[in-house]
Amino acid sequence: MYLMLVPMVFLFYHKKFMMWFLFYGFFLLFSILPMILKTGEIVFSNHFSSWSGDSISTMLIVLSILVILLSGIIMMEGNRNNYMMMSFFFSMLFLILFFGSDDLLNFLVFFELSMLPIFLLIGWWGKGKERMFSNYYFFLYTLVTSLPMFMLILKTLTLGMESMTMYNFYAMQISWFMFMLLVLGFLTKLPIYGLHIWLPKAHVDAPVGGSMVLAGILLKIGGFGMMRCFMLLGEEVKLTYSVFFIMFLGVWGLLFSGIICLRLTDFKVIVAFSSVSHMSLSVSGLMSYYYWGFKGSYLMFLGHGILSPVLFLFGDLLYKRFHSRHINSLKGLISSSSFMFYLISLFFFAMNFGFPPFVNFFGEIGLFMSLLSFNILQVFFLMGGFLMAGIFMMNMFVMIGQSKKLLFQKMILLNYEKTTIFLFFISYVSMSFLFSSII
Amino acid sequence: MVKIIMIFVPMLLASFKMKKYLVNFKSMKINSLLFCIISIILVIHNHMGVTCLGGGWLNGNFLISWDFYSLVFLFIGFSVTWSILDFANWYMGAEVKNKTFIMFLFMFLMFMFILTSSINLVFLLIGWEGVGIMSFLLINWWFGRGEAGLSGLQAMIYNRIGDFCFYIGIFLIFMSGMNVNIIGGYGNSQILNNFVFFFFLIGMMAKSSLYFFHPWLPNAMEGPTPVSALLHSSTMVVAGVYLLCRLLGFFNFTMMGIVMLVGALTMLYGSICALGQYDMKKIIAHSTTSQLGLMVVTLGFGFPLVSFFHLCMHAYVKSLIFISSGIFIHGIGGLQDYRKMMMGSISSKFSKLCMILCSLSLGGFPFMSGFYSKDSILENLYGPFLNSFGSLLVIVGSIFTVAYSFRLVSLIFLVNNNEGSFSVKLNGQEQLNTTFFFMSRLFIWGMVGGFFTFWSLFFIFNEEYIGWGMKMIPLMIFGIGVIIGSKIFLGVLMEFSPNSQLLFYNPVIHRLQLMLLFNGIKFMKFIEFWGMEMLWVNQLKKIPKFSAFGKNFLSYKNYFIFGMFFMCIFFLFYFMCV
Repeated sequence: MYLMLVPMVFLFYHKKFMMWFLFYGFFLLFSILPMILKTGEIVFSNHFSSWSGDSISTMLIVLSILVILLSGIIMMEGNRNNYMMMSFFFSMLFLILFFGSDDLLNFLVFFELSMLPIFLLIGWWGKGKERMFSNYYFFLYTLVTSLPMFMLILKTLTLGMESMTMYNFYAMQISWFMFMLLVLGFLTKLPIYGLHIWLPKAHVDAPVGGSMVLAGILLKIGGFGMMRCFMLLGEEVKLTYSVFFIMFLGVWGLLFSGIICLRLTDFKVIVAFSSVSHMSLSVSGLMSYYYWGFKGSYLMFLGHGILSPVLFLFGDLLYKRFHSRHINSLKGLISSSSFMFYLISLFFFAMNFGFPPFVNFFGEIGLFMSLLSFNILQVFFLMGGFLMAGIFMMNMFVMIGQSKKLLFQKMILLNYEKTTIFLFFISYVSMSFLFSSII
Repeated sequence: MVKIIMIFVPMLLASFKMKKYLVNFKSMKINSLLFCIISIILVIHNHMGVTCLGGGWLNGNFLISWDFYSLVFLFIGFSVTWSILDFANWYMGAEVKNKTFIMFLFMFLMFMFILTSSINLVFLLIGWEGVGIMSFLLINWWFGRGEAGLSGLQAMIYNRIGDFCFYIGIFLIFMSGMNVNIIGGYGNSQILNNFVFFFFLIGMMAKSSLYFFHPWLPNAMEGPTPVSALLHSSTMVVAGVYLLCRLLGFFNFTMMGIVMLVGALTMLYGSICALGQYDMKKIIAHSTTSQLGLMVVTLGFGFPLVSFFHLCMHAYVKSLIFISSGIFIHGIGGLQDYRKMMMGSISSKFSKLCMILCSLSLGGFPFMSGFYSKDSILENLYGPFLNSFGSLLVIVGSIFTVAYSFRLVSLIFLVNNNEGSFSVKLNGQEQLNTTFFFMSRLFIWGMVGGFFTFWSLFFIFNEEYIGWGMKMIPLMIFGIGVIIGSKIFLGVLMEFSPNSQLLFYNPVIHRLQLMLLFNGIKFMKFIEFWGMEMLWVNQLKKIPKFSAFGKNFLSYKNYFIFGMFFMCIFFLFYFMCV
């Protein structure tokens, strides 16, 4: 119904139509929200005729619509639109079809296809000569590492067990190395620490909306795939070396991404590495095969999916005022910015390292809990990572806020920026308080 | 749920509403007065209220209990806040962002009361982390100053280490199946009993600035004086001690020994450091550290009520000392070095009176507030627990407490001379309608509060039968301290460089940390380069060069190698998967 709007992009293209895009987008969002209450807790429940949504999928669909809409709002300013909104349309389409996919073929096709709009965004609307190189990185990392999964799925389709329940790979007798290869594609998407190199490059060279969509929802595609493969862990793969290795990479990534962030100077790269650390932690929580690890990583996905776009939004706000992303040049914010801006920036900076009682805190509790139950020696990595997260976030906050007024004008937030920040704020708080009993 | 909102939301609303009104401070004062009255009524009725909330998938019952400890703390917190709001009105009168300041103070109070009234340990974490963040914001108040930002960061980092150990403690409780609520009682798990509280102890050490996590407190004096008076003497740093009071029933003998040792060490360290400082606020900061150590030692001996009593009386006395020092700092135009304030007592007689008598009270002069708490501590030391080392450290620490207090007081007030330093006559800062009333409220509590509440509110009825010599020890501590403080003996301690004054803790630990960190980064970069990137990047870099004939073209040999590389990977996957 609403997806029929997509071909209409080509017919009517001017600024006013974009308002209809927003209208229908929010309408779609609010119409999917009741589905949250109708889904069951059980994964792989709720198969409708062409679309299946269990509790994980529905929430992620809601998140994807929210993030893409708000990124669209941000990207619409200025005169840069040569069919750029088409890529946002298509990414929303592909993501909804991905999260609601019922059999493996759809899953695979939309997994690869959802990469395409971002490829276009970085290539055509990014800035700088290096964006082609980072496009190569982004594209080839995902494509090459999802190749084994592609072949496994093809083999499964020939066997006929193509539905998305957990026994689709049952006949293949997954051993430890096959699990590793299967999961490699997803591990690159939510970047785990060893395969994360595409992420800082892609984030830096993408435009704002592209970074927001990437950080907000495309990383969660990998997480969603991992959660589907979570059920596969139960048989022989649970306590094997590949699982240990992935968990080690995740936890090591938490610590070292934090340490790297202390020495970086580009705002966007710092936020990108904080994404790496959060997602690595989530995946290692998943690998521990505890219920709290599962819930913790799920909550981490949701919380991070709202926080990271906001941080990229701040980076862009600062870039437009100071014309630089170097943190030594972004100064004097407390004295020259409005009070609400200061408070809200503090809010989102603080939420990033887990401030109770919001979603990220419970995600972190679940993840730490499951990892410590698995092996108590991980406490050193977790402690270091936890500490570093607090340090670099607060350090950035201090450095940005310090110093006297450097801007000759007061730092005013424009209307669309205020709307976006406000909507993100509302969604984060409501996710923490209203949906916590459902999640 | 409704009760909680009813208690906490007025504070929040008050703090946000006030941006619109011109008369801000009066509404705040009325607000805090109201809470004082409410809590007095609740305390008098001995009303123990327990509220219950349901939780989500964590299966937690978010309990809030307004029992003796939290109600008395509520009352004392608000009465001190009332005076400090008056003080902030005068002290920060020339600031640009007055209203923001008050709002931060009230948000801090909200988190503090969440902390003190909750008995579910996860709910307590809300207050714990909130208090940490508000402390960071308030220390970083004069944000243009580099040292202020770094001090805020330092406070944040030390708190964070403690927070993680607190998390580990909660996890251990969850893992062994016990209930996270203090009131419900713990299950029987003999294995994890010591271990759990060791982690909680580390968390509390970081929050309350006890020995191994102490450097942030003297540096937190970068914040304005009302912040120091409220946060870092009365409310925030006692969060850890408060929690220890609550949890003390679950500690066993070994753990209480560790608690006592930590407290004794802190007390001694704090008082020695305070002897060598020349910055007035830093002396008071070290004094706070040492008094916290004293409270923790009392807990280690097993007297939570006495420790809580000392906590409450100390709040009044210490905040009044901070306020008086704030008056001197303003009077001299912003300096904090007391060597330049020597003739200052001429025009600020009431502040002088407050400061002298509060220092005496802190030192344990008979029949003031501090005497009741300190005397009961020192008497109870010779009771059933024969930990001589701890007792010795407490006595020595008490001697040094009196010594530094006397030194501060004597060098400002009792010695009026011109030797080598620039003496200043303070301007008439102190007037009846600006500074008298709030100081006198704290003053009355500081002097006679102990006398009136020792047997009525706190019910401390411990009886000990000790001999004449032991009974005289507190008085002798006082006398010896005065002698030491007046530079007759141990005058050598006073003239050292800052590093040795703090006994070399800061440079050693901080530089060791940085060394480990930077070597870790070098190692990690080495691994990252040779581990993952070498495999991919070399091949990726060749891709653009294949299609460019002419200058940048690679030879056909590279085609072959590149193709072989990818074909190998392809066949590897194929044969493994199929």
